[in-house]
Amino acid sequence: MSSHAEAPEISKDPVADSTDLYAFVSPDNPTMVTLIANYIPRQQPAGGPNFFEFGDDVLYEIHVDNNGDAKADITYQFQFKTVLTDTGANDTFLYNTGQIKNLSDTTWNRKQFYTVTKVDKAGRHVLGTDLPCPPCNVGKNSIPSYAALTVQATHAIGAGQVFAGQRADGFYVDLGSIFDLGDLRPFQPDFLLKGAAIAGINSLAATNVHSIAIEVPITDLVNGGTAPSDYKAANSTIGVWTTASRQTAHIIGPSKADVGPWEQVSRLGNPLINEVIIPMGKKDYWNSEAPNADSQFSKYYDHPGLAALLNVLYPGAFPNLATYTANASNTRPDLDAVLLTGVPPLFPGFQNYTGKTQADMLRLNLAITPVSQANASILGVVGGDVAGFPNGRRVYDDVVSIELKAVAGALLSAVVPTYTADAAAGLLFDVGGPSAEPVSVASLSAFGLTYPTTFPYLPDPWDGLDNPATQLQAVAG
Amino acid sequence: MAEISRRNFLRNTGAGIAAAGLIAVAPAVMVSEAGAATKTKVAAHSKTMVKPASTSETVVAHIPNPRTGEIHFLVGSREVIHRDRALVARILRDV
Repeated sequence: MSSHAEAPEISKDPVADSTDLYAFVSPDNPTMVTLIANYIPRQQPAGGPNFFEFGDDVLYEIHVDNNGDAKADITYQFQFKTVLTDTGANDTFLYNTGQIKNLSDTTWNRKQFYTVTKVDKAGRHVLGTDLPCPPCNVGKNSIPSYAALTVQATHAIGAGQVFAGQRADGFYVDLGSIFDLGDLRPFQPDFLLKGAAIAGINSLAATNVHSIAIEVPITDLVNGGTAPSDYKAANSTIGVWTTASRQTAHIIGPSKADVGPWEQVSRLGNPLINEVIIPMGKKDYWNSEAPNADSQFSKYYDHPGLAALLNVLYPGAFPNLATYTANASNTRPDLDAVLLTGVPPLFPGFQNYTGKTQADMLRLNLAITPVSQANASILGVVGGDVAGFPNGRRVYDDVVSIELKAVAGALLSAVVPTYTADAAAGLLFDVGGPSAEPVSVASLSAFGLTYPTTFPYLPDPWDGLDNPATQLQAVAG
Repeated sequence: MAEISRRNFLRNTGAGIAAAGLIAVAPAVMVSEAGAATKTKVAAHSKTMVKPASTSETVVAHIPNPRTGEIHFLVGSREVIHRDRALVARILRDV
């Protein structure tokens, strides 16, 4: 999965666990950039009696580097507070005592509010305080119109807008197959333990997450303050990552308290890095580190464990990759470019190189025009759509399939001319099929995945009463 | 062994700090280049303006390694490291 419970320690602390990060030029308003950080993975919609919520004791941040040093030049901080409507008058045990039609309804017993602060070189700027979150989607009896609450929970901040609350998880992955020895269902006839080709299943179907989404003018983020028009311009690309931090000491008991400096417990830039690239013994440490120190992890990009396994798991399918990886002196400049430094201008119309500093950041070229959802390829740059991953990341991009292809060497020949990619490398995918790989956003509707075309771009959350997870998995399978 | 009360502990700690003249307190929020939440660890020997903690604020004292003589005081979002081997020895004796 992109980053759902990807490391041992954070898997036990879901409230602070970043699951996905998205950064893209807003397709419906190309003068704006949307940044979305998702937290709290694998939420079953039937979440009662205590529904999911952000941590009041967690500092959530989205960082932007605009000069290539992998240090944040702009940070958006989000801090939450939970308020109980019923402070003892009725002593209700319920999340809601009636229908919730407005965020101010007293029938909603447990509410969350948040403060948004922008931090830059000029200091700290509070953009909004006491902004209400929407409730979790309890069910249609409690919340007859969730869409109305989404509108109410979308707040204007300056020229932009912000939303924080529950959303349907837009990420999709076949966890069952990938973590059962990489047995990709559409390719089971070629797998070591042969089986029939079947469609890959979305293991996260009909689950929710908590999203922090902020849309700001491009000019707020770009170095120099002027929107770039040339995709080759040095300041055209920004780096984005999210972190969650907790205070050093947590005191349990009557004098409960959280005190001390904020310590980073979770981070996320590119998808799947801590899952697939970083070894088990380093995952918790990786979560505590800053991107500008990521050169210490470059050896894991240069010798990814999955690449070494592919020809074993799919005998004879990846002979060139097997030969290449067998030579320990061979590195992976393709993965380094896509995931650590950004891609230099090797392809017409695209580059997102930010310099030599190796860092896990989602790199978005602000000068590249977004495409409409109808015209987008979920394979992004690999699918000929330079507005998608690894040029930032849109909510529907198939990052698992893109990175499977990349790890298998599909892009290696672009930077190592003597290398010839195995034919199988460009074919790999996990969800969907088995005969045809999904490439359009519309094709994802078969797995229950549809995406709004306007902010906050992720769908309203699945509701607790009418939860179709089982049916969706059956359809996908 | 005498039981050390919280009040005595704080008083003794404060006395130790005052006697040593080494206290250093960081600003309540230290903004890095990133502007992110940054650990405000301060070496005991650096001299900056003392900003006492509120009397109603929780203070946590942490001795990660008694051999170093360091006590880490956690208050608000700050961490102040005080080095006083005698005080650490006294705490170890009393707890």
